[in-house]
Amino acid sequence: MLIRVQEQPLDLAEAVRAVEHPSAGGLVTFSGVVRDHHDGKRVVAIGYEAYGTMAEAKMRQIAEDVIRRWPDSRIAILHRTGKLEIGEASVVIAVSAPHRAEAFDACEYAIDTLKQIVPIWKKEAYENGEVWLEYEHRLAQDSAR
Amino acid sequence: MRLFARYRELAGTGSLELDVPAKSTALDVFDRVAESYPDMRSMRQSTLMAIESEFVKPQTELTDGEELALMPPVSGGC
Repeated sequence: MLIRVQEQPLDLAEAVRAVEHPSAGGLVTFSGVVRDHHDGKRVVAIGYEAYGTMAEAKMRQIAEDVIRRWPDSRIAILHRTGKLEIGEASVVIAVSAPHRAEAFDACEYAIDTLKQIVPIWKKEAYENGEVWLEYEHRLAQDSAR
Repeated sequence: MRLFARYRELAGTGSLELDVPAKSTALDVFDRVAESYPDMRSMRQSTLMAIESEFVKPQTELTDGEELALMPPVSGGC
């Protein structure tokens, strides 16, 4: 299991190497990449902030869940922090398992769960301002209550 | 205690030391910090709280020397 939150650019090959195994017949990778638009606005960069120790603890918890649910699977999860440009990877996940179906399922479970429970926040920078995602959304909702 | 993302910006710092009465809950501390920041007050229902890196319910009592983190809803990944 390879788990890390880091400021340096992510290396997908490192995640792949961490899960390669002779008994793994399927190896699935996922890269989350900074996109140039959101809600019709042009995104120029994204800043990621993490509660580092807790983020790694939660990522480890996800990895342990994966290994428990999909026997003989292996997993690597790397998440980046700091300011990222368009096209750079913010998260990479690699999962290997005896068969492809398990590897696909486990990888999807890992990214979906990461987005729900890992304490990391993103701030999108547009041409004319910045927005903390999810925060602004909830602020609008909660203020209306 | 630790503050992250928008809360860190509002407070102008990511870490604070607070003396609170015995049996204070995570929510009590949130309310005290949020007194100064109207936007945080509006986020009372959506704020995530963690003690020593574990998510807790707002009603959880703090014990001496513990680290409480107040966090907006998470938005990591991609």
